Amino acid sequence: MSFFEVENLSVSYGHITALTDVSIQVEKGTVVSIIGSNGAGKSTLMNAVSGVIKKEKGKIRLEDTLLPSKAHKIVRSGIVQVPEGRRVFAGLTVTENLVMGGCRISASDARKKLPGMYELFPILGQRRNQMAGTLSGGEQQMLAIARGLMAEPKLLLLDEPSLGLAPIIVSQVFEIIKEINKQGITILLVEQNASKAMSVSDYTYVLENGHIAAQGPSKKLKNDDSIKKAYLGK
Amino acid sequence: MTYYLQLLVNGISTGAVYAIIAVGWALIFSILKFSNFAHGGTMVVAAYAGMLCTQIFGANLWLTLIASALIGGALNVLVELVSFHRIRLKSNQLLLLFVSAITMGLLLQNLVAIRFGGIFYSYPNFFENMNRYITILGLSIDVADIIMLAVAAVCIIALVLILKKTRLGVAVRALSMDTRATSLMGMNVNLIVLSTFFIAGALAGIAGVFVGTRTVLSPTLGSTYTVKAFMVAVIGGLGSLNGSLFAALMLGVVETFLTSWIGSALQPVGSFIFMMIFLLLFPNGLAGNFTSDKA
Repeated sequence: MSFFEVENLSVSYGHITALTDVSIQVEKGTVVSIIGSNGAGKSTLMNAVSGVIKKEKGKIRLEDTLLPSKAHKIVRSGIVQVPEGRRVFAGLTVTENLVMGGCRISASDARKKLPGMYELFPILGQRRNQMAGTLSGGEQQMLAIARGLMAEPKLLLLDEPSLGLAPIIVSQVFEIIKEINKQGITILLVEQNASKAMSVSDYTYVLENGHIAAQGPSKKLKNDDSIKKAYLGK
Repeated sequence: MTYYLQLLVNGISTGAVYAIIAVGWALIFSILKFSNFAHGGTMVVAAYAGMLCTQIFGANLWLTLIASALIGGALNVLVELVSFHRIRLKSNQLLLLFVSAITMGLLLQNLVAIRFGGIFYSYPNFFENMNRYITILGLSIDVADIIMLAVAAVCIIALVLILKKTRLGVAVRALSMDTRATSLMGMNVNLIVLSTFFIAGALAGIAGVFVGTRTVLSPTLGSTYTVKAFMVAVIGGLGSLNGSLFAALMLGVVETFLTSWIGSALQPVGSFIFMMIFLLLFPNGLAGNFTSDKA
């Protein structure tokens, strides 16, 4: 049994099927990426795992336990999503955003974690009393990731962390993803930036029109001709 | 001069009652983005419940305030569960919430009318043994008003502290910005919504007692105060606590001056004209940061 498993997950919005029989597995301590184009169902998969949209059928397990159905209980079981588009709380300060991320742990434990976060993300430390809405896109992405880490996740879901960021910031974000993984956090990463995603991940799934079109170890998949052509533009 | 100062003081006292109602209103608007037109209904039920406490148990002002706050809070939780909960979860359509709120407001008000009829009830004088008025700088100020201003100030300061300092407060503010992100952070959104309704209802209950001590109770106070709260919310900027606070005091003062100048019969006309002119000048209200088209 894998650390985290999605088994035959299907999701539809009314009559439109977004995901059909998607199965993925994530081993403890690894980074697994899901790549695919716009509308392939990547975010749908993330949100179904997080419980913010309803799944039609399928089972999702963390450490051999079925996930609860309500979103806040899923977070409490240890799966935390850093949502697409960052969605930091614009009118709260950086510190307040982080405290909100730490809902899974007690308020005093959350406060104790703050210095560690500011060490990992020095820029957030400098801006701790600033409103999150005044941060740049890259800083907001750092804040969104830090906010997710505050909950001490067993599995961190990252939805399009490179979206809308300058190339140099994208590289920084991926460095941080590696760093977080080194600290022992298992990561499921959804990305349009396929080459970056495959370079940080151990295993990759390719999502096309709501089903898994290909999968394999990232190193191997990177050299696959059809993947190269479709996703890496080579 | 003294006369105008006197009017100002009276106006601020009236405004303080509006403020307690309006901050609760703003709180609910800020998290759910709709105007809770049942708010006055909760207030009027809690006001009558407070009056019963004084009649049956001979409760003093403080006990009455606590009882009304608890009843108002509990009732508002019930209102959320009955009128809004399912709509919020299923479709979250503004029109449905709007209709449901008005229906509930009328229901509460009419339940009061059925039980208490058209007879005007009033609160006992809580300060029989005291000199009711004190004189400061030639102004005579009702002791009840001073106590009310103090209680209003304490309530509002407590609310601000809760919002600023506690995790529930930060969660309420987070929820007002992004519902999905709030639930993705592991917060129980329904619990936060219910807590907010409780707080808003408790404030409405406290306001209800003061409405009762300042005037006489009648069932239609529910819709009267719903309209006042809505006016304050619109003038203040929908969903803004600070804006509502200032707008409430402003409306209280404007009403008092208008009553003195053109009489109490024409005063509402003047107040609404004031609101319209104000909105022409500041379409987004005092706070001016809410630009969505939600009612």
